[in-house]
Amino acid sequence: MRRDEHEAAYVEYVAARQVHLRRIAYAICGDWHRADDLLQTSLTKLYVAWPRVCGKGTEDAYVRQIMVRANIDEHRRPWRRERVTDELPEQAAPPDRDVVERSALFDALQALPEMQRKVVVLRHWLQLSVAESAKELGIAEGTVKSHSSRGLAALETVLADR
Amino acid sequence: MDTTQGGEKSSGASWSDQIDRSFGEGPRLPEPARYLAAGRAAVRRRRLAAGVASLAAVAVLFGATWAVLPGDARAGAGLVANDPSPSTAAESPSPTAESPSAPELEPLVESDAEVRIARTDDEMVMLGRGPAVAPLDDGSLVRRPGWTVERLVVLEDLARHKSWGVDLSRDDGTAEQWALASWSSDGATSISFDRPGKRFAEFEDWIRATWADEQRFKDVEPGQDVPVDDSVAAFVDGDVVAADGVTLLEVVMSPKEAAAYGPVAKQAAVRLRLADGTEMFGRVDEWGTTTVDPAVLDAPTMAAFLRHLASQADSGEGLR
Repeated sequence: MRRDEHEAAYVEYVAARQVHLRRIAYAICGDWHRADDLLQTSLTKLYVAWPRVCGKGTEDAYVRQIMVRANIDEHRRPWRRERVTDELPEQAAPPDRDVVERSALFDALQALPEMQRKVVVLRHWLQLSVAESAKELGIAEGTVKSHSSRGLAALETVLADR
Repeated sequence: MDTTQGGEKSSGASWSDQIDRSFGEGPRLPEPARYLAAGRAAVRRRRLAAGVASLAAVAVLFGATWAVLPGDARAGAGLVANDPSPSTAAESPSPTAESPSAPELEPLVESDAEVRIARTDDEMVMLGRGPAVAPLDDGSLVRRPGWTVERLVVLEDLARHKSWGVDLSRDDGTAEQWALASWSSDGATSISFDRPGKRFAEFEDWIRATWADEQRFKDVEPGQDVPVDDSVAAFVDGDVVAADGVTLLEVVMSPKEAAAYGPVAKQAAVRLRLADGTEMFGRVDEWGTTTVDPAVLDAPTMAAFLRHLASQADSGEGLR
């Protein structure tokens, strides 16, 4: 396949899947701006890998795994060799004008520890199997199960209190 | 109804529906063309980062096949032992190897107008005699008064992360500085800067090597070992071993001129030829090779390189 054909296929894929993919990013990080960054990072890496990934039916899985890993990278990122300014506290993103109010369930999801949240997203929203979730997250299947149970228990508590 | 299966508590597909309804809608998405442009830029940056200092790595990225010595199964995958004698130099790219594209540098602006002069309020981010350019909290760049931006290269341009390579000169012509500046929206900024002539004579070569270092180090947690960079040459079982496509031309083990850089017994000074024919000098230690462009030496000889090592150590600047 020529480069322009590759790129046409890439654009077609992005157009068809970017809404869904950004929702995954949002579910993982809980902030639309971070989700946009995560999506851009992931789709940029996908472009680099596109000749290998294109047409194999694994595009979504590839992007999803990049998102999970990229988000972990995001937390590692503040380390720098040389720093000339003081570290400033995290600044909250400005409110989104177009955002419809999200639910208490979503807030509860974001309050979960990171790995619990990712497990819940992969297992119970995207409905991946335990084995698939373990593979994407790089953890043991037993760990997926325990995170899943604890995460759902926490969400159930929130729903019960509503 | 909740069930427990194989140690995992679950309540079936209803969670999927509830979570799916919990999101709300986000801001409008950009056009796919934006991702396409970002992807193309990433490919160009890969070429840039992998440039002169690590042609072997470029070969991997581009799927090229490089010639290796047959039967070499020693420790140090990807490395090929070289005899310093030029007569045994066989590690050149095979005739079928795809030559990496010439590294591209993208000027972000034609002039320095977009890098405004620092105001008094900005001086707090500009250390006294340190960098002549600095990123501010808002993701913009400022330059020290009296300095001109000769060249600005965008290396990373995300909504929350940006990185630039900047070539600056003092307006009175007495100094030049190269800088790699990064900004994150969480308030973290960083800048690496150097004067020309420590390792490289050309800005493009410096930014390639410094950017490659940034990429190599960025996932290293404090306290963790820095990964070995074996893209040029490295120690394997006490011997200096060159990467695929790199030829060792001269090796000086345990150079006393490198004493300030670490244990002499664990260092070597080398002259080598990269796959594209470029000759470089290098200081090899347990973390890999720090290459030095012969153009910064007073002569393209091992003796001059050793003098450079010693003088850079004496000045306190070192090579990096």
